[in-house]
Amino acid sequence: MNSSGQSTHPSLREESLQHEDPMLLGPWEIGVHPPGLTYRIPAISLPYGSRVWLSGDNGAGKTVFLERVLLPRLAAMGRQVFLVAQDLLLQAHVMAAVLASRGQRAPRCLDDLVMAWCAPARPNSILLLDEADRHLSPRTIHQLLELPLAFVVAVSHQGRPCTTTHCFTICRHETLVHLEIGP
Amino acid sequence: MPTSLPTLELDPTTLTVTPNLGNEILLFARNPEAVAVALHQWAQDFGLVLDLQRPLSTYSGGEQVLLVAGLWAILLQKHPQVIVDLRRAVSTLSATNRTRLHHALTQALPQATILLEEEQVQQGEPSSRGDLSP
Repeated sequence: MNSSGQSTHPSLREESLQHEDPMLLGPWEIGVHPPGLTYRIPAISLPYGSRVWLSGDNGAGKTVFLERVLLPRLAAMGRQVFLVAQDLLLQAHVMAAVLASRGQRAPRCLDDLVMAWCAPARPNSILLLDEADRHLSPRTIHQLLELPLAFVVAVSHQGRPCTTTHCFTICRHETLVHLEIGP
Repeated sequence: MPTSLPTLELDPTTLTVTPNLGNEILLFARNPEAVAVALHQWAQDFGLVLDLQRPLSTYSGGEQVLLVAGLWAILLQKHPQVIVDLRRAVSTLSATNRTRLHHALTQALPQATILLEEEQVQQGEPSSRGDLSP
């Protein structure tokens, strides 16, 4: 991931991906140090356009999963990934800088800023939302989930967003973390 | 709601003054050792392992809120009356931990007014929390 929250990707591999390919994840067994967690992720095939609600108790390892497990592997697969981080108020300054580098003026409203930052996303791009509903309006969350993207994962404690198609739960036992289907 | 009382707002973006809870206790507690023991017990009740020297920012967002709420619950026990405003913080918590935190705070601070419900944001209207204006 570069400093703006977007993953870099080899352009040749990007071109080889078909827009409507399913998203293939796992099987992975990945140690993340720190914080010393081992993720066991089964093989999962998700249809193109899937919207996944990811839940889990506090401290289960949802953010580490997004940032340290999922994002680097998606980037290695040649995917362009947009990560809206949990600390969005801090990331907003980076988003504004990215827009400035594109010659765009950064909106002052956080909702508009995130939408403008995500505007270059393509049909095979992926969006990861880490508790973005803490900072963004329900309408913006809905708009983000409705973007024509290959795959969206939304972490939320506010309940399942209505437009999601799948529910997964991150569960942690001691230092072992696994992904379960359903809340 | 009694509006003349002092209000403490727990904001997940500005949780503490110092980098870790150990320093926070040294700064604010009259009896640091007793507060540290009580906070360890609070953390254990929520299934958390507390390290007082660990930078608070390295805990998950929800864990940070639970631990700081615990510190407040301990420090405010002898405060006559206060409003504890958790409305901006509860969105970081799972449904289970919201219920558990509400219960734990009402037990620890029976004299306090505790605000837990998140403000309602109207669909289609700009959210004040989303405005970057100072």
